[in-house]
Amino acid sequence: MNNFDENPKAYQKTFYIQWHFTENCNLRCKHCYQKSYDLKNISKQEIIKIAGILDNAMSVWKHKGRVSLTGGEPFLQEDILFSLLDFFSHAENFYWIGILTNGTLIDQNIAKRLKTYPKLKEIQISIDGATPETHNAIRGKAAFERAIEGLQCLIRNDLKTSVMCTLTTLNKTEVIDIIDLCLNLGVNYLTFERVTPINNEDKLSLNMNEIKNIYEQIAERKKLLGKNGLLKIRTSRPLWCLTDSQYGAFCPVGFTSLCVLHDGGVLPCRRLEIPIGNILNDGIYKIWYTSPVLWDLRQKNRMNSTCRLCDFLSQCGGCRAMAYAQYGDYLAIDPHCWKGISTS
Amino acid sequence: MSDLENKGKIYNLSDDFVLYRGNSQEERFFLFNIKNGKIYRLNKVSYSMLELFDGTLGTEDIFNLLSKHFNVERNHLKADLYRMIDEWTGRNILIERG
Repeated sequence: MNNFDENPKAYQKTFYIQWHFTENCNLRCKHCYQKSYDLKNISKQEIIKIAGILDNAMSVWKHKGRVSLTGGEPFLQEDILFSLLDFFSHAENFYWIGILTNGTLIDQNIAKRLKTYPKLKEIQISIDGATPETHNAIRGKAAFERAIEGLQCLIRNDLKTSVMCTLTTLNKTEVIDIIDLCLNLGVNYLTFERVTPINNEDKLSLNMNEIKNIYEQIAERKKLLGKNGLLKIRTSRPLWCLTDSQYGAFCPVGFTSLCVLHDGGVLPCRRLEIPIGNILNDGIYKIWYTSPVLWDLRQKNRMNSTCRLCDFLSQCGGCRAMAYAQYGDYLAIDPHCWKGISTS
Repeated sequence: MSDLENKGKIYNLSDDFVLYRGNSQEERFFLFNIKNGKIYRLNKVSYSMLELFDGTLGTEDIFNLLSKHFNVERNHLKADLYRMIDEWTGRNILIERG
């Protein structure tokens, strides 16, 4: 019987936690994945306990931790957010902290305060349109203006910023303009993600041809920007390899990432809404070692779809959350995969 | 632990541990401690042994089952089994039924 600690490969991995520590939010976005906007959070003591459990797990697994703190809107719980920033700044096993926010509550004072956390490597603001009209139609009145103001505060304070754009039928014609907006603002990273139809009406979802068209436009623009430009467009997610064989990556869900919810509940990924336990009740190890969902996701040969036999499996594998939302089967084919269709 | 001491004893896996058998191309066997997170990689024989400690089978029953499955000299197998029981009870992996 060998202790797994002896495996040298185990020391090199990073592990990503996306922690939605509050459900409280000041916006009601049309594509939001939350089912409720519960104002009753668990106590600060319990939140810090979860942080301790996560840090301990990274130590036991010999992984270097990365954590994104989010909500809801994390800046609505400023006290908790800064307590977590303090915790992870001093946590031995976490080297990277990010914040995912709608940006509307960030002002100059907050930006200055954020600057004092060296481990805080990136603050991501959601921008879902290149114009106030589009963004606000999705996120609500004045959300665009406030988000841009928040972004500018961060940039003025020399903080690394990223923009997340959720692709829907409402913004599908604006991707190039969104790239230009990010370039003009001086944003460092830009991610486009397909909307997952969890709660929202299907009318927000794009079809395969629309996704293909949008991804190809973005990939072309990415090439024009070159590798040395200030703005990096992230393409290390499933399906991007279909635009360029250099792009794409197999999703880390089930391997080196977890999503923690406001009450300690755990999901494989925020968009793959299958509860697999609660950190406070079950502990993280029971969840990680015994969840049949996680074991399914770890075994690529279990996929029920053509993904299993695809040449791009190692750099794609499809989005399991998208398969689950579309077919109720997280091992099914990614509904947006266009590999099988003619490109001529 | 002597033969006589061990014969009728019944053990089960502690609630702190779970066994896992990977069924991808390569068979892999693990024992996980769900309390402290430690991971132990097992060989097939150790896994098969541990799997049999279900709280109903006695040590002698387990020995008889194993001797049918593995082509090993009986005394050698018995010595191995008892040595493993000692190690596993020492690490609180196996708990003796009261």
